[in-house]
Amino acid sequence: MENRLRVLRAERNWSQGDLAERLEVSRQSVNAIETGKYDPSLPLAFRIAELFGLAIEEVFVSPSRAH
Amino acid sequence: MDEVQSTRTESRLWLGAFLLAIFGTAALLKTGVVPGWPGLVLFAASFLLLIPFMRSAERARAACGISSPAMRTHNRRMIVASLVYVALLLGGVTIARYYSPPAAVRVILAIAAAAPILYMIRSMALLLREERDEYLRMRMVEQSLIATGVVLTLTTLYGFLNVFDLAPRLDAYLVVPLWGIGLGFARLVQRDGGC
Repeated sequence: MENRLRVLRAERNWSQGDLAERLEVSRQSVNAIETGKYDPSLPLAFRIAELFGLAIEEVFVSPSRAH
Repeated sequence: MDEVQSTRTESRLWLGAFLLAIFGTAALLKTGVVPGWPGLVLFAASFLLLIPFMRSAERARAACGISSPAMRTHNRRMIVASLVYVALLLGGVTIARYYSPPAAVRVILAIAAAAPILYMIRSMALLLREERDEYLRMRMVEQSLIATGVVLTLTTLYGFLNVFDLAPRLDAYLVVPLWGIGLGFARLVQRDGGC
Protein backbone atom coordinates (compact mmCIF):
# COMPACT_ATOMS: atom_id res chain seq x y z
CA MET A 1 0.00 0.00 0.00
CA GLU A 2 1.38 3.40 -1.01
CA ASN A 3 1.84 5.98 1.72
CA ARG A 4 3.31 9.44 2.42
CA LEU A 5 5.27 8.38 5.48
CA ARG A 6 8.70 9.27 4.09
CA VAL A 7 7.53 12.77 3.06
CA LEU A 8 5.76 13.43 6.35
CA ARG A 9 8.81 12.26 8.27
CA ALA A 10 11.16 14.40 6.17
CA GLU A 11 8.97 17.47 6.75
CA ARG A 12 9.60 17.07 10.47
CA ASN A 13 13.29 16.17 10.09
CA TRP A 14 12.69 12.85 11.78
CA SER A 15 14.88 9.86 11.09
CA GLN A 16 13.31 6.40 10.79
CA GLY A 17 14.63 5.76 14.30
CA ASP A 18 12.90 8.91 15.63
CA LEU A 19 9.59 7.86 14.12
CA ALA A 20 10.02 4.29 15.36
CA GLU A 21 10.62 5.58 18.88
CA ARG A 22 7.50 7.76 18.77
CA LEU A 23 5.38 4.87 17.49
CA GLU A 24 7.03 2.37 19.87
CA VAL A 25 7.90 0.01 17.04
CA SER A 26 11.22 -1.19 15.58
CA ARG A 27 13.11 0.90 13.02
CA GLN A 28 12.79 -1.99 10.57
CA SER A 29 8.98 -1.77 10.90
CA VAL A 30 9.04 1.90 9.87
CA ASN A 31 11.33 1.04 6.96
CA ALA A 32 9.06 -1.84 5.84
CA ILE A 33 5.94 0.36 5.97
CA GLU A 34 7.64 3.27 4.17
CA THR A 35 8.88 1.06 1.36
CA GLY A 36 5.48 -0.62 0.99
CA LYS A 37 6.85 -4.04 1.98
CA TYR A 38 4.46 -4.24 4.90
CA ASP A 39 0.94 -2.91 5.34
CA PRO A 40 0.34 -1.94 8.98
CA SER A 41 -2.68 -3.14 10.90
CA LEU A 42 -5.57 -0.71 11.28
CA PRO A 43 -4.65 0.20 14.90
CA LEU A 44 -1.03 0.97 13.89
CA ALA A 45 -2.19 2.91 10.81
CA PHE A 46 -4.42 5.03 13.07
CA ARG A 47 -1.51 5.58 15.49
CA ILE A 48 0.67 6.77 12.59
CA ALA A 49 -2.04 9.12 11.30
CA GLU A 50 -2.72 10.51 14.77
CA LEU A 51 0.99 11.11 15.35
CA PHE A 52 1.07 13.33 12.27
CA GLY A 53 -2.27 14.92 13.15
CA LEU A 54 -3.81 13.72 9.88
CA ALA A 55 -6.68 11.52 8.76
CA ILE A 56 -5.68 7.99 7.88
CA GLU A 57 -6.42 8.51 4.16
CA GLU A 58 -4.05 11.50 4.17
CA VAL A 59 -1.19 9.18 5.10
CA PHE A 60 -2.13 5.97 3.29
CA VAL A 61 -3.37 5.74 -0.27
CA SER A 62 -6.30 3.40 -0.87
CA PRO A 63 -5.11 0.52 -3.11
CA SER A 64 -8.15 1.02 -5.35
CA ARG A 65 -7.12 4.66 -5.94
CA ALA A 66 -3.39 4.11 -6.33
CA HIS A 67 -1.83 4.54 -9.78
CA MET B 1 32.91 0.02 8.56
CA ASP B 2 29.39 1.01 9.64
CA GLU B 3 27.76 -0.17 12.84
CA VAL B 4 25.59 -2.78 11.13
CA GLN B 5 28.58 -4.38 9.42
CA SER B 6 30.88 -4.25 12.45
CA THR B 7 28.28 -5.76 14.82
CA ARG B 8 27.49 -8.49 12.28
CA THR B 9 31.19 -9.30 11.92
CA GLU B 10 31.56 -9.44 15.70
CA SER B 11 28.53 -11.74 15.96
CA ARG B 12 29.90 -14.08 13.28
CA LEU B 13 33.29 -14.21 15.02
CA TRP B 14 31.62 -15.23 18.30
CA LEU B 15 29.55 -17.84 16.47
CA GLY B 16 32.74 -19.19 14.88
CA ALA B 17 34.48 -19.29 18.28
CA PHE B 18 31.45 -21.07 19.80
CA LEU B 19 31.27 -23.73 17.08
CA LEU B 20 35.06 -24.19 17.09
CA ALA B 21 35.06 -24.65 20.87
CA ILE B 22 32.19 -27.17 20.82
CA PHE B 23 33.51 -29.31 17.98
CA GLY B 24 37.12 -28.87 19.14
CA THR B 25 36.46 -30.00 22.70
CA ALA B 26 34.19 -32.82 21.42
CA ALA B 27 37.07 -34.01 19.21
CA LEU B 28 39.52 -33.80 22.12
CA LEU B 29 37.12 -35.89 24.19
CA LYS B 30 36.35 -38.47 21.50
CA THR B 31 39.97 -38.97 20.41
CA GLY B 32 41.06 -39.38 24.02
CA VAL B 33 43.45 -36.38 23.98
CA VAL B 34 41.54 -34.99 26.98
CA PRO B 35 39.60 -38.03 28.26
CA GLY B 36 37.06 -38.50 31.09
CA TRP B 37 35.93 -35.77 33.44
CA PRO B 38 38.36 -33.03 32.31
CA GLY B 39 37.23 -33.55 28.70
CA LEU B 40 33.54 -33.42 29.70
CA VAL B 41 34.06 -30.27 31.77
CA LEU B 42 35.95 -28.62 28.89
CA PHE B 43 33.14 -29.56 26.48
CA ALA B 44 30.47 -28.25 28.84
CA ALA B 45 32.43 -25.05 29.51
CA SER B 46 32.65 -24.30 25.79
CA PHE B 47 28.88 -23.71 25.84
CA LEU B 48 29.53 -20.60 27.96
CA LEU B 49 30.60 -18.96 24.69
CA LEU B 50 26.88 -18.90 23.88
CA ILE B 51 26.59 -15.88 26.18
CA PRO B 52 28.93 -13.50 24.28
CA PHE B 53 27.58 -14.90 20.97
CA MET B 54 23.95 -14.19 21.89
CA ARG B 55 24.87 -10.75 23.23
CA SER B 56 26.75 -9.84 20.06
CA ALA B 57 23.83 -11.14 17.96
CA GLU B 58 21.55 -8.91 20.01
CA ARG B 59 23.79 -5.89 19.29
CA ALA B 60 23.71 -6.77 15.58
CA ARG B 61 19.91 -6.94 15.64
CA ALA B 62 19.74 -3.61 17.47
CA ALA B 63 22.02 -2.02 14.84
CA CYS B 64 19.66 -3.35 12.16
CA GLY B 65 16.62 -1.96 13.97
CA ILE B 66 15.05 -5.37 14.56
CA SER B 67 15.57 -5.66 18.30
CA SER B 68 12.73 -5.68 20.81
CA PRO B 69 12.29 -6.27 24.56
CA ALA B 70 10.43 -9.54 23.85
CA MET B 71 13.33 -10.78 21.73
CA ARG B 72 15.85 -9.89 24.44
CA THR B 73 13.77 -11.79 27.02
CA HIS B 74 13.58 -14.76 24.64
CA ASN B 75 17.36 -14.72 24.15
CA ARG B 76 17.94 -14.77 27.90
CA ARG B 77 15.57 -17.74 28.24
CA MET B 78 17.38 -19.56 25.42
CA ILE B 79 20.83 -19.01 26.98
CA VAL B 80 19.66 -20.29 30.38
CA ALA B 81 17.87 -23.29 28.79
CA SER B 82 20.95 -24.15 26.68
CA LEU B 83 23.30 -24.11 29.67
CA VAL B 84 20.87 -26.12 31.83
CA TYR B 85 20.43 -28.57 28.94
CA VAL B 86 24.18 -29.18 28.61
CA ALA B 87 24.53 -29.69 32.37
CA LEU B 88 21.53 -32.07 32.62
CA LEU B 89 22.42 -34.00 29.47
CA LEU B 90 26.07 -34.55 30.40
CA GLY B 91 25.12 -35.32 34.01
CA GLY B 92 22.38 -37.74 32.92
CA VAL B 93 24.55 -39.54 30.35
CA THR B 94 27.37 -39.88 32.89
CA ILE B 95 25.04 -41.31 35.55
CA ALA B 96 23.43 -43.71 33.05
CA ARG B 97 26.80 -44.89 31.75
CA TYR B 98 28.75 -45.31 34.98
CA TYR B 99 26.04 -46.29 37.50
CA SER B 100 23.59 -48.30 35.34
CA PRO B 101 20.52 -47.02 37.24
CA PRO B 102 17.12 -48.81 37.07
CA ALA B 103 14.62 -47.97 34.30
CA ALA B 104 12.60 -45.59 36.50
CA VAL B 105 15.70 -43.45 37.16
CA ARG B 106 16.59 -43.50 33.45
CA VAL B 107 13.07 -42.26 32.63
CA ILE B 108 13.63 -39.34 35.02
CA LEU B 109 17.07 -38.63 33.47
CA ALA B 110 15.55 -38.67 29.96
CA ILE B 111 12.73 -36.30 30.94
CA ALA B 112 15.24 -34.04 32.73
CA ALA B 113 17.43 -33.86 29.61
CA ALA B 114 14.39 -33.11 27.41
CA ALA B 115 12.89 -30.50 29.77
CA PRO B 116 15.17 -27.57 28.76
CA ILE B 117 14.44 -28.29 25.07
CA LEU B 118 10.70 -28.27 25.80
CA TYR B 119 11.25 -24.97 27.60
CA MET B 120 12.94 -23.58 24.44
CA ILE B 121 9.89 -24.58 22.38
CA ARG B 122 7.68 -22.91 24.98
CA SER B 123 9.90 -19.80 24.80
CA MET B 124 9.34 -19.61 21.02
CA ALA B 125 5.58 -19.72 21.60
CA LEU B 126 5.88 -17.05 24.33
CA LEU B 127 7.95 -14.87 21.99
CA LEU B 128 5.13 -14.82 19.44
CA ARG B 129 2.69 -13.89 22.18
CA GLU B 130 4.89 -11.27 23.89
CA GLU B 131 6.25 -9.51 20.78
CA ARG B 132 4.37 -6.21 20.58
CA ASP B 133 5.90 -5.11 17.27
CA GLU B 134 3.45 -6.49 14.68
CA TYR B 135 5.96 -6.41 11.81
CA LEU B 136 8.60 -8.33 13.79
CA ARG B 137 5.89 -10.78 14.89
CA MET B 138 4.85 -11.34 11.29
CA ARG B 139 8.48 -11.98 10.33
CA MET B 140 8.79 -14.54 13.15
CA VAL B 141 5.63 -16.34 12.03
CA GLU B 142 7.02 -16.49 8.48
CA GLN B 143 10.37 -17.75 9.78
CA SER B 144 8.62 -20.44 11.84
CA LEU B 145 6.60 -21.60 8.83
CA ILE B 146 9.72 -21.74 6.62
CA ALA B 147 11.61 -23.64 9.35
CA THR B 148 8.70 -26.08 9.70
CA GLY B 149 8.67 -26.56 5.93
CA VAL B 150 12.42 -27.28 5.99
CA VAL B 151 11.94 -29.87 8.76
CA LEU B 152 8.98 -31.56 7.05
CA THR B 153 10.79 -31.70 3.71
CA LEU B 154 14.09 -33.03 5.05
CA THR B 155 12.57 -35.55 7.49
CA THR B 156 10.20 -36.88 4.79
CA LEU B 157 13.06 -37.30 2.31
CA TYR B 158 15.34 -38.82 4.95
CA GLY B 159 12.58 -41.14 6.18
CA PHE B 160 12.12 -42.65 2.73
CA LEU B 161 15.90 -42.94 2.23
CA ASN B 162 15.84 -44.91 5.46
CA VAL B 163 12.94 -47.11 4.26
CA PHE B 164 14.96 -48.05 1.17
CA ASP B 165 18.06 -48.79 3.32
CA LEU B 166 19.98 -45.82 1.92
CA ALA B 167 20.41 -43.96 5.21
CA PRO B 168 20.72 -45.04 8.86
CA ARG B 169 18.05 -44.32 11.46
CA LEU B 170 18.54 -41.02 13.29
CA ASP B 171 17.49 -39.98 16.78
CA ALA B 172 14.11 -38.21 16.76
CA TYR B 173 15.29 -35.38 19.04
CA LEU B 174 17.48 -34.09 16.18
CA VAL B 175 14.32 -32.55 14.76
CA VAL B 176 14.66 -29.60 17.17
CA PRO B 177 18.17 -28.49 16.10
CA LEU B 178 17.07 -29.12 12.50
CA TRP B 179 14.17 -26.71 13.05
CA GLY B 180 16.69 -24.21 14.45
CA ILE B 181 18.78 -24.55 11.28
CA GLY B 182 15.57 -23.99 9.29
CA LEU B 183 15.02 -20.80 11.30
CA GLY B 184 18.51 -19.60 10.38
CA PHE B 185 17.81 -20.40 6.72
CA ALA B 186 14.53 -18.46 6.92
CA ARG B 187 16.33 -15.41 8.33
CA LEU B 188 18.77 -15.52 5.42
CA VAL B 189 15.88 -15.77 2.94
CA GLN B 190 13.89 -12.85 4.34
CA ARG B 191 16.85 -10.55 5.07
CA ASP B 192 15.73 -6.88 5.22
CA GLY B 193 18.06 -4.16 3.99
CA GLY B 194 21.13 -6.32 4.52
CA CYS B 195 20.03 -7.31 8.05
